[in-house]
Amino acid sequence: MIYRKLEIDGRFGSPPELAIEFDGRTYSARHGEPLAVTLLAHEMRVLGRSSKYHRSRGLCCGRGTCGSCLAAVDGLPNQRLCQCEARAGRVIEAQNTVGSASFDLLSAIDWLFADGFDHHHFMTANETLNRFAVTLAHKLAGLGRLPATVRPHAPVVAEQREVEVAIVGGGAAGLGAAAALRSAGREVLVLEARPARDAHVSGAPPVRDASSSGAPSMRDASLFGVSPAGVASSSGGAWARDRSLLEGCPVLGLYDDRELLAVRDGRLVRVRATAFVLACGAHEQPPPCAGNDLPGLLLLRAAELALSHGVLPGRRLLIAVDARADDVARAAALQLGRQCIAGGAEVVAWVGPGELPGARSTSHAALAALEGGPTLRRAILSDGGTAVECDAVVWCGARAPAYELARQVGLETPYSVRHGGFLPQCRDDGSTERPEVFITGELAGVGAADAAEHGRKVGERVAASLASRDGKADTARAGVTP
Amino acid sequence: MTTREFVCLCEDVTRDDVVHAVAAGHTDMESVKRYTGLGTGFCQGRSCMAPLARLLAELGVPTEHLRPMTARAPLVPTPLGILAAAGDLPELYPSPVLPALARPVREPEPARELPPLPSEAEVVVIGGGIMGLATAYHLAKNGVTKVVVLERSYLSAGASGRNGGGIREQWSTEQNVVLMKESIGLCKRFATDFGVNVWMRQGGYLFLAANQETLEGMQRNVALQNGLDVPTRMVTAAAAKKLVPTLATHDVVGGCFNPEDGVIFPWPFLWGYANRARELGVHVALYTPVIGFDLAAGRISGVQTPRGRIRCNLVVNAAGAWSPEVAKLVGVTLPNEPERHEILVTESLKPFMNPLVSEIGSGLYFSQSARGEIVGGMGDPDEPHGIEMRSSSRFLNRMARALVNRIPNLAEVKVLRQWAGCYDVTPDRNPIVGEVERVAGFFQLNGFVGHGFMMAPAVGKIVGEHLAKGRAHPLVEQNRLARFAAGGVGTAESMIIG
Repeated sequence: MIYRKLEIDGRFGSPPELAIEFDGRTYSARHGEPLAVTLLAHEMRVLGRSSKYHRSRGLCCGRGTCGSCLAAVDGLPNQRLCQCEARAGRVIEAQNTVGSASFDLLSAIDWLFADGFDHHHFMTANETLNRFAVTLAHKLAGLGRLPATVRPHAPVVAEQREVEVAIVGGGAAGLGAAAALRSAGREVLVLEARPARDAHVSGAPPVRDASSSGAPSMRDASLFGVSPAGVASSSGGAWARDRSLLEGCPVLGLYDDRELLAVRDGRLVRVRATAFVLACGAHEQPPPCAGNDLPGLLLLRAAELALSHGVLPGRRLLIAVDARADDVARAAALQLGRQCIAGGAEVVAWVGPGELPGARSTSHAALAALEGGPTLRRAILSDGGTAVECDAVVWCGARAPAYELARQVGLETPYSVRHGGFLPQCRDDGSTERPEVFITGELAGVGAADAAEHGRKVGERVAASLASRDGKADTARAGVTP
Repeated sequence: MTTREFVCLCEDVTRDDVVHAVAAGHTDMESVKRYTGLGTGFCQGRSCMAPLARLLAELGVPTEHLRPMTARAPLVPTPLGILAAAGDLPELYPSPVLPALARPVREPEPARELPPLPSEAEVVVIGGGIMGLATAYHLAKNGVTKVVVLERSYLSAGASGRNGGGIREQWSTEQNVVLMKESIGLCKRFATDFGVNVWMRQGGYLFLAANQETLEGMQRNVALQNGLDVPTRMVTAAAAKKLVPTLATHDVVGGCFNPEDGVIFPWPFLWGYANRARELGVHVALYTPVIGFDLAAGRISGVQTPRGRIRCNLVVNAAGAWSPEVAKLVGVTLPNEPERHEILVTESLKPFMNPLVSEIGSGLYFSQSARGEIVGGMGDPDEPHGIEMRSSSRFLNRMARALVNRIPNLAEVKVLRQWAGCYDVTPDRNPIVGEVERVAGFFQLNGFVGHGFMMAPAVGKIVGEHLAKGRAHPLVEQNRLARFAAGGVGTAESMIIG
């Protein structure tokens, strides 16, 4: 119970009420908090071992976008512990280890192949050696295990929806587009990957007011700043009630027959729409430096996730902000730093533009390397190698646009040097080469602060395109009417 | 811990691995992905594509043509049980036919400037798949070194890079059994002969039959195979379950099993053949499609590409599913039809299954790869003909149902990616090999109906030796295009799956 110190609005006043098990030991937890956060609260940072070198891995992105916090939960392999909720009696087992998460005999592979493992040319000298190599590799392959028991899925019927406009992403841009479309009398469905409970994490859906008329609350314009926890659950809002917002509903694919597949509560959701607005946002990426896999390195949103559950990211924190991170992200990192200090953590350094009161701030250096094992112990800065002892590094870098769906439907996605990632080609009004697909928000290269406004403009553009199509249909009908 | 900077954390791909891949000539992101394994793990490329692009830029790769790898559905790892359950709505996936939406078709571009094309060659091979590369290698090995291989995209962009990696000796025709016996022998030695690992694992092929009629067909095939020294044996449903303990056999009447069959990892075959062929003087031209042919007195005299002409008197059409299009450029009509076949891969698991399992009736096949993933596909009887490499939700659903039916424990196992490739299907399911009568110097090497990959090591050797040394072989004598016009087609291969 080391880090569980932060009290926000009295929310975390009560002690953890239930027990979970990790690698054979019992830990206290709060109902519904992410398992990775539970274990962080107990200073269990190493959650499993990596595929090839058996390196220690732990909570990293906090968003279910990376693969660092995988473990078996209740016998099911490869569960993201940042996405699994704590419930009484849950059993978590570290994967790919001979021993435990923090002590793995096979981590010898990491130093045996210190110069890298060239799997293409490994033991190709003769047939006997090669057969041995293949057998060995096969034995070591795989992270999780096939579930031993069969829990057949009941033949649940997939949910089917037909709407005029499907909007992928319920952040500022997606909800801005939805509001504009609803004002124009269009039927929309917003699919948001984040569950409603994460409404306090930056980049999550904005706070919605249950008493509002149905439009998203735009009063919270800096949607990507940390809104302090204690927010009302958004799932009871008017939007969710009339089923035009599906939270906790990640999209699996957009197929060429205008069918969008998503999954929610263990059921497929199949959506057919006339137009699609892609407002998928952007992914955080680990910093490009040595040791960028060490447990203890948290991307900004993961640190926010922990904080939002009253758990500090570490005792001795270094916060590093990349020069390319935008103002909104930097503001969020500052807010996080202040909250950590208020919660009793020591922020040993703030590295990057700006400064954090109460921490040694270094604007002229960047993160050069992270060191430690099996968890993070120090950060090396680029200013000639200053070593900073710390047990957690929070990294606030540039986010890479989530181009995947756009690419899947065949849009051109060239590399943008300015954005440091791939941006689907679209016009200023969000329209693309495909007449039924529109793009807005961070995915359109728009800064987080302007995303809501951009979303609204794109929504208006989509509404205009639907109106002109309706007009054409009317004309066509009029033409055949005797 | 060892100091490492990772680009892809899921597959433990470091900055140094990417530097090596670039040094080995892999500069576009699809090729770096294939060479390093980057982007093929649980995060499905979300954490590594942008860092890779930045690193490639730093290494001097121009960024204007840089594109991320194709993003595959499902974008979130999704349990097979969920994907399977959806099929209870009969109208959910009514047809495999995708509407012809105005989807932009993009020709892949090279990340770097290409070396100039030779202006003449003894042989131009069209298609840089395994069939074309193996043939080019064996031509060069037999003294014909002025060979150009034309590939319209990156190596492994076609069916050679999209298949499930199965290799088997179980067939219904003598020709195929004999070819595959030789091919498996060559596969066993490939890693040491070509200096690149192909992760070959002989876990056997277990074919299952759902009814008596299929079982009787199997018995005939097993007799044929045994007569050709292939150790296939018939197995009962109970024996099948012994081979794969998690198998559900409630709807199985029996099957057959050959322990010599197995699985390999397809991509390194292309790198191995291409590298050795290059060392012998072959020019492998990537991103170079054929746009026409020159003819002189009814004979091929040159090949046209957007990057210039190559004078030559012999062309090998090894373009797989694109072969009919290539032949059309010289006025030759091939009876082959491209047919999409889809495939998926799951998260990787510790080894639990040795053989590749296949159902003769449904065409379902799946195996556990050397990396631990379940890789498999299944044909669709309603699939229309035509080049089509988009994925469908219909396949995802049908495949999930079939897999969960066969191994119920797979219901909780998550799908990471689905993709598609094209079979090159002939009317009698036998290949087309040999020079066509109408155009001298136009040699066909296509129509392998989805098993070209596994046969290529043997076929490339036979055809390379035939073209270089004039060595006769029944494969070339008995599989000419003329058989279709004459009406005398051979015995149709019945053991087609996928």
